[in-house]
Amino acid sequence: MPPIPMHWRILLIRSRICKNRLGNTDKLLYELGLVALGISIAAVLLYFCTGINVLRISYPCVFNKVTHLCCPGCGGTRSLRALLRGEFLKSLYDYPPLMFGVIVYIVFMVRCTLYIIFGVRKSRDGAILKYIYIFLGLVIAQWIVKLVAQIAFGYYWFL
Amino acid sequence: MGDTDNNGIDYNEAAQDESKVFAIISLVCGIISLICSCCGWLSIIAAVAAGVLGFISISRHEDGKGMAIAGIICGGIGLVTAVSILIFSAITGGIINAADPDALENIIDSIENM
Repeated sequence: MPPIPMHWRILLIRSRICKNRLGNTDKLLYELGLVALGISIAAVLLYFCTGINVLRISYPCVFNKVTHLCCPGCGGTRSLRALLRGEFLKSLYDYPPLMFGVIVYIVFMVRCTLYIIFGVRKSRDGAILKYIYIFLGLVIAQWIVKLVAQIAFGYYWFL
Repeated sequence: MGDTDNNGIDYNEAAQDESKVFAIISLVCGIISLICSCCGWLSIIAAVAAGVLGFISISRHEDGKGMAIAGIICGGIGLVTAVSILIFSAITGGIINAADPDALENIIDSIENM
């Protein structure tokens, strides 16, 4: 019997581990989630191997510096740093959509992985999309709240 | 039902799924453009990608139209914010060099002294 080529062996192992297939929408979002996970792991490895902290590299928000107003992403890096330190309330205060996004991301990736490998039942294909819309709504809502707090009441969010 | 070949593959369904892919990526790029609107070039690239993919999705099929429209709108907001920052920095005397915090402080000082 001729030896099995390497790429066939990989497909064979994958077919034994991945018993179930996701729908097209969930598959695409799962792959994007894996890319994001890969980037996060690379950043962590970069920190432990070289000491470079990518969260410290970011330059100040130009929009905030020039106009003294918040942009839709203002507070995101602070919130992520607080989340990684375990300060959940501060993370929620600085950028509320981040906590929501992280929870949705973890639940989605875990459920899809369990479905692929063990066939554990999950929601229908594309059900995650309504949570993406909620995340988008939270981003815009918190931006409006911060702008109103600053312009109408003089309350600067990042004192 | 639909256009199927001898293997039972429905080409209409495959085309619907493909245009939904563009709509989803347009939505994701729009969100990235909105959140990173202070990052300048990253926001512009993401906004252009969101717009192009959103329009492709809308022109090809009805499914995912809401996602495509949301992606186009978010990309538009991010693009306007990023372009306004770049125009403002160009007017105030040079493109802001993100790696040079001194240049940024000089430009801000010149704005405050106007």
